[in-house]
Amino acid sequence: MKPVIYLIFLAVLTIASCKKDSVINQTSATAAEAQKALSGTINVTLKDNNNVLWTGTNTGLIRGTGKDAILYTPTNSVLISGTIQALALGINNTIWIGTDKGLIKYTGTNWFVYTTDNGMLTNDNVKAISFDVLKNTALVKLVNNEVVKINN
Amino acid sequence: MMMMMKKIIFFGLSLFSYVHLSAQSASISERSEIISDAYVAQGVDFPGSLTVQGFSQCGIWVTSNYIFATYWDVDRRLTLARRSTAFGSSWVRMRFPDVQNSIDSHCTPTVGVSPQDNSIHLAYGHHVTTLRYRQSGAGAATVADADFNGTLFPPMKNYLPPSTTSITQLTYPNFVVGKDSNLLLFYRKGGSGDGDTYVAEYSAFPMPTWSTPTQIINRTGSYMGNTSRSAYPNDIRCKDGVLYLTWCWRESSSSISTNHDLCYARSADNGQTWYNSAGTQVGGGGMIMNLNSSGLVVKPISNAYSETNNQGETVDNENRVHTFLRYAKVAGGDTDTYYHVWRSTAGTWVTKQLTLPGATNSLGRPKLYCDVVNDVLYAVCIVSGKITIFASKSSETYAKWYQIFTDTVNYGSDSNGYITNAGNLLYVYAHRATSSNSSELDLVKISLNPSGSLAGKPIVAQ
Repeated sequence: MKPVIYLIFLAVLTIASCKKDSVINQTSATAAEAQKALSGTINVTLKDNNNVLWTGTNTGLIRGTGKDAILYTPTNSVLISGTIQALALGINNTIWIGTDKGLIKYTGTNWFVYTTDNGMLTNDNVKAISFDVLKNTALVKLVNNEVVKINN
Repeated sequence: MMMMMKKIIFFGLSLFSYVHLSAQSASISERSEIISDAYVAQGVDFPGSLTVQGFSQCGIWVTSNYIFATYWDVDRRLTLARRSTAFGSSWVRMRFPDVQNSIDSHCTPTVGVSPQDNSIHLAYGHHVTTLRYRQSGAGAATVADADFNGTLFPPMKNYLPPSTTSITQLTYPNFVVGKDSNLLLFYRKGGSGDGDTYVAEYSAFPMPTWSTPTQIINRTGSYMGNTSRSAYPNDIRCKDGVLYLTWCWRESSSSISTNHDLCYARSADNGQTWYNSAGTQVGGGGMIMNLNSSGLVVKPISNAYSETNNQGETVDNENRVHTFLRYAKVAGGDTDTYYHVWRSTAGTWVTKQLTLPGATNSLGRPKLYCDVVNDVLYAVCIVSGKITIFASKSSETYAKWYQIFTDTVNYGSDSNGYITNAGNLLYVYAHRATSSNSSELDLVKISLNPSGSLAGKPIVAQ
């Protein structure tokens, strides 16, 4: 009887370790993609209230560094472009992300998109963002030098 | 004397109402107007509601806290509405002005919500056309009402990321929650009578990703000299991680008189491999299901019966798959006949013919739901413009059906809805009948009484 129990235990252990490896491999793959993006052109960086570094590149937005880094791109998030041209920090650690195809707000749990498509911008090419904490408003400078105010 | 007569009439009416009501085991819980003027096509090749059709499996989507509804407004622009499941809640909505829908009732909108990351997925306006798809970010389904607006969605895509290859010639997109709570998108690529069926799988982990679509049913094979066809799936159900797919074949787009057979297959891996009723693998591993696949036909049905496509399907507590079929013709004439066809626990298929009151070319596509707690089947039909519910119990071996509910409002069409896990509430998405180009779109919540006995004169299955 004992060998049977031992074999079952071994099987459970093997399955559990396979699952764990699978998760590690997936995370590693994500981090590797992020490292690859970091080795390219860096357009802008931002450190948020939790000391997390955000890096804007021409191939996406990277959250964090090292093995915990995550690369956000148009194919795995609502980013409308991988060309990140501006970053700004809003209240409650909200990250404002300017791209050549629109503006994104990331609250830590939700993503919001501001583009000409939904009528929130007059031009999708965002060149710079600053945040007015007192008015809780993002000031978004577009490629045509127009400044759009978006209340948080 | 006059007074006495009035009392007798009043008493008689009261008694009639009491008897009538006591025979019901379902009642309207709430009728919620979503919009007063959703578009209805008139005088075109494909008339009717642009939003609510029997082939649309997910025009509405219900989560534990919210109800989502998609529709084409009076200007044929897409709108996504949301409200709490709580009684009497108000709708909040977002409108997408970029696409104006064709005047074609095939082009219904569909919505799905990923249980993994609460992202919202929309596919809309298709009749052998390029994919129109919008995908929100994670968490969009549960934002506060004030944040429920168009900023939750990036612009429309015609592909499923990370692939950037356009999906073309698409019709009937339908979302289903599959194994591991992955969201699945089923669709037909190609035309009616000449198309293939695909499924793609969305996983939120480790990052939101769609799989490359897998072709699961292929058009090839020879039937009465015809060498191409398409599958018309009934409502696609997933229970305990297993997909249950039933469908008929259609040989030509011209008419339902080319529809034939009831086919069945199941998959325990989100559509990658498929097994027939006998348990033989028929799809995956280099095989794609087609007319010549072994054992797919579980009920041969001649095309002479004009079997309707996109009919009701559900799965009961013992994993028995049920379908509710309508034939538009019988020998000698155009008389509707209805059949309850199900797979027994032993794997055999049982067919019972039902004679439904008032069912003469008026039931359209009956939808089928199962209360898995109490093992009651509910067939929802439009009979003479009224939402009508028939019910049958497993404990009576589905030998009897009871008409348990008839609505009072006239509807032109209904689509697949939703039954709660407790089996006590049914959501029906319905579009009011009209001869104009718009009418009211309703979410009809119907309270069920599954633990009570089914009352009324039974309709005996033959």
